[in-house]
Amino acid sequence: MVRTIRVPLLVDLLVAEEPDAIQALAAEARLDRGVPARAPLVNRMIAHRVADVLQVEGRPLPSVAPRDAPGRAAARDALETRLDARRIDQAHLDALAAYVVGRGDRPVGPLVQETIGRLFVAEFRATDETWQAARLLDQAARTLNPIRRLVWAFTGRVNDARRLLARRFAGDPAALHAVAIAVHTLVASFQRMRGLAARSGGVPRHPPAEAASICLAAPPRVLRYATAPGADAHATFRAGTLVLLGLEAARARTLAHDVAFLTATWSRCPAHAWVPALLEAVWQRAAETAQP
Amino acid sequence: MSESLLDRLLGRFARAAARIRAWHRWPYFVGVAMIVGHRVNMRRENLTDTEVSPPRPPPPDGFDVRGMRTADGSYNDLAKPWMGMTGARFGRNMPLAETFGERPPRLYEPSPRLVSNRLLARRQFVPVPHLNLLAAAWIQFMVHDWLSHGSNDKEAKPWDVPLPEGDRWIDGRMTVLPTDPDPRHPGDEGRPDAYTNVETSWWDGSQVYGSTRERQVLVRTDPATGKLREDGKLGLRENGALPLEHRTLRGKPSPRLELAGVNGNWWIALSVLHRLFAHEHNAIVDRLRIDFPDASGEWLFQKARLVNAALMAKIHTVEWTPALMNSHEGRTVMRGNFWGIMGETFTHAYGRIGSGEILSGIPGSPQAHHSAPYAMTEEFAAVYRLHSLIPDEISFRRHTDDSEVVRLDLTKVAGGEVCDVYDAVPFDDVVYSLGTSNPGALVLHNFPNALRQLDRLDSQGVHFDLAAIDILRDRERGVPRYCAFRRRIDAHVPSSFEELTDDPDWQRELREVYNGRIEDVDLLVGTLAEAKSAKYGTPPGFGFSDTAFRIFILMASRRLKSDRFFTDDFRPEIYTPAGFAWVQENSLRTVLERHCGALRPHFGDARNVFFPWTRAGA
Ligand code: HEM
Ligand code: HEM
Ligand code: HEM
Repeated sequence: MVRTIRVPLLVDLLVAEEPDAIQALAAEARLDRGVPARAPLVNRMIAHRVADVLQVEGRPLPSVAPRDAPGRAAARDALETRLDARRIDQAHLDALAAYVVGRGDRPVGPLVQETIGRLFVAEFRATDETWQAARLLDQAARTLNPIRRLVWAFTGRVNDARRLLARRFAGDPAALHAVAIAVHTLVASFQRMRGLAARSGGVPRHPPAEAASICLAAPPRVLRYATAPGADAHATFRAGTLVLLGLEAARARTLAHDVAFLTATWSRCPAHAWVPALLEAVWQRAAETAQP
Repeated sequence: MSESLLDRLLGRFARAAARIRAWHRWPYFVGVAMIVGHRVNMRRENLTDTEVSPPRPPPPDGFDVRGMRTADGSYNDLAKPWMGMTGARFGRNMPLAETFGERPPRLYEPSPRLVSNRLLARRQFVPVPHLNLLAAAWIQFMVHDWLSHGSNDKEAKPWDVPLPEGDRWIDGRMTVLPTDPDPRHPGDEGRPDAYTNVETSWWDGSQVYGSTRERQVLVRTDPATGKLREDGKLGLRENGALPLEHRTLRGKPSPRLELAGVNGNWWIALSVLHRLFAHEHNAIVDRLRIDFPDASGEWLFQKARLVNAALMAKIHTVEWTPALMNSHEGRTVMRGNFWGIMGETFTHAYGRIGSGEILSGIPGSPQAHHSAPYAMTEEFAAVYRLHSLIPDEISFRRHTDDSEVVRLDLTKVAGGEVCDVYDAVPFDDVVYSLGTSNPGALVLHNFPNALRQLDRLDSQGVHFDLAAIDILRDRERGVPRYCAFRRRIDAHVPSSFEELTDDPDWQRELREVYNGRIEDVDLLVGTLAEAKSAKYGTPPGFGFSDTAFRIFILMASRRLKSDRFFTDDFRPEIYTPAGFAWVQENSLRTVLERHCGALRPHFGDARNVFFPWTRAGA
């Protein structure tokens, strides 16, 4: 089912939460990421806010970069290849497993951020500061609250947060996306795992692949704009229509990894294999530590 | 696709009212509104597609897919021709996250054999006094139309069901082959195993006609000549009996086994229904030939099949279902489903009123699949595991004076031995005996012991306990256990054994077997236990549980609503005028009158032919 919210000149939204509709819209050539040339007011506000926040030195983070942004596809492929070769070190695996079985002493946010950050910078250490910076960037990209935005603009907190993280990763936009934005999806996954483990019979009851699949979280929504008017079997859009793909709702229904990571599309997440492998490994480790 | 405002209101209302008490404990109109509301909610939330790479049907090749049912069920839906076809996957009525198959050790907690011994084994036959044995056979006949998981996985390591202490199971070990899952495709990443339905999922009479063209050719073959009958009829022996195949449809040798579209799990009552509907098919052909004297045998066959299938669907809806819900409301409302609440006479005389199904019934209303493509579901198969309906022995009596000819154990009336029964007892007396016997009740401690030790006499002499297998299969295929299942259908979830059932002995036994863990109670066990729960369980007058009922109202209506031949194309132009009238005018009663006329004095007085017939001399 696709929902539409349309008020002339003000707003023009499409919300898709059915897997079929999402797959079709994600493959649609007339939909892209970025800032539309012309669009109703609210659409423009959202586009500018996202573009303002999710950039580093004027370059968009890859998760919001237009399909044909220079170097995006190549960087994506390179990162995917690099991730596939990457194993998680034992210390982080143990710490994550401890969190899952309710024994960990490190807060999960920085722990996950550090795990991801080390894919890019081997000696990266997450601190409360880096974690708060990630939370702020994520919130800033989401909120429409004008007062909060004003305060942030005034105090420059968002810029500071971005600068703090950018420095640690030499301005790498992919790394910034990973430790500031993607990290929250992964944290949500581990929180679910902890919940699953706590339920009766918990860890031994579910094989790792199953636990990983049940607990995987997907981004609640990812954004596209229509660059030209068009229609497909599921929806009609005009130039400037903002399309929200409700990935988490669709994933919950189908458990399909290819929905969670948009695997079959041009914007495939480069971590689409790495993330499930990590979740499985952590669950496996949790099962081992849970043995009496 | 989209819900009307009324639908949405009813859905919310059902949910709110159910928090106070179950639908059957409200006044009639409230209860009916709640049932409709529950169905709205389930159409939205309890239909999950599992297909990622659907089968590819061959091109129709000149076959008139618009006007006839294909052998494999393809092209029923013209936009998605694979929908419901042989080999398509089972769908789900539960969210996928809850449908991962259980694996050891969980698979054996507690041992399915323990459940079979302690909770299911029949101690003393508990009959349903107000139903006859044809009602039990009928539902198996329907299940064989709708679904089968086919052969098990012979390559896989068998399940090794732990034997409880002191259990003297024949071989000292109980191994069961796993169900064969559909190979995984790329889109399956992250998803539970899916299984395929080796029958068509449509309500198309495939138990009679087969689910492949080859099987169809076989049942259309004249046993006398070995050739396809040119007159469009089904093959029968000279004495009117079904032909003999001597093996099962999966190819296992089985001497003297009769031939049918589906001849698995064969026993005398199933054989009777197959024989009646083969004769009915041939009678329909004779009728159509009067109007279409020049039509080919192929055309007559296909049109007659269309009519026969619709007649079976009608019988199920307006005769069988009300018989199983022996309450005044149930009868009135369910007759309404096929003909519409306006009633049969009204629809006959004036045609349909608008396109809404509530007023005029589903047949003839527009086709709709709701939130997923049409498919049978694992949960549907699970709630239809009604093996306790089967008695352990049957008394065969003469219809003339009710005197007993012979009394036989279930094993002596099953498989090829069905023919021995016919040798000893005339067909009419067999039918009479079934019409005057009772099925078993769907309660704990009533699983036929004959089915708890089945000997499949193939080369290896395999033995199995069907009660243990019923439990094992649901767990293996990831059908949620009772409490988890109820949680997903807006039904009250018992938090104690006292809430599950009112019977103190059952409470104690259940608590022991499940180690005090109510959440572990298996779906099948829960549905049988709730038979004795006044507050949350089986509604008064019902032959089956409220849990099963929820899945029935969702899925039963889909069998009609998704099928082009029961909706857009349920019309005289497609069925032929005579064929369309045949569906309207006939019922199981007229089928019996036509093919067993001598028995009319016995079923003539039964308000419903699935109720016990009048005994001779009574
Ligand atoms: C639960 C974990 C994750 C999920 C479900 C997920 C999902 C996604 C999805 C759906 C997209 C496409 C967004 C769009 O098209 O608008 C995406 C893009 C991306 N993801 Fe992930 N992601 C996860 C974790 C990660 C991690 C850990 C990394 C880095 C190590 C990462 C790196 C990226 C990058 C760089 C892109 C942009 C790809 C492009 O150039 O188009 N993701 N992710
Ligand atoms: C004498 C009568 C019957 C016999 C011998 C019989 C035997 C069997 C056997 C051997 C299986 C397969 C077990 C496995 O999974 O390995 C089965 C499955 C099943 N039976 Fe029966 N059965 C009988 C009557 C009934 C009746 C009256 C019903 C009522 C609806 C029924 C419903 C089912 C269902 C739904 C399944 C599961 C099918 C599937 O999932 O593929 N059976 N039966
Ligand atoms: C306005 C209210 C109702 C509507 C619209 C409705 C609709 C339907 C429809 C269309 C079917 C499909 C018939 C079939 O294929 O077998 C069905 C099945 C069924 N209905 Fe109803 N129903 C209503 C009320 C009731 C009531 C009040 C009862 C019981 C007292 C009931 C019991 C059943 C049962 C047991 C089945 C399933 C039989 C099977 O699985 O084949 N329904 N319902």
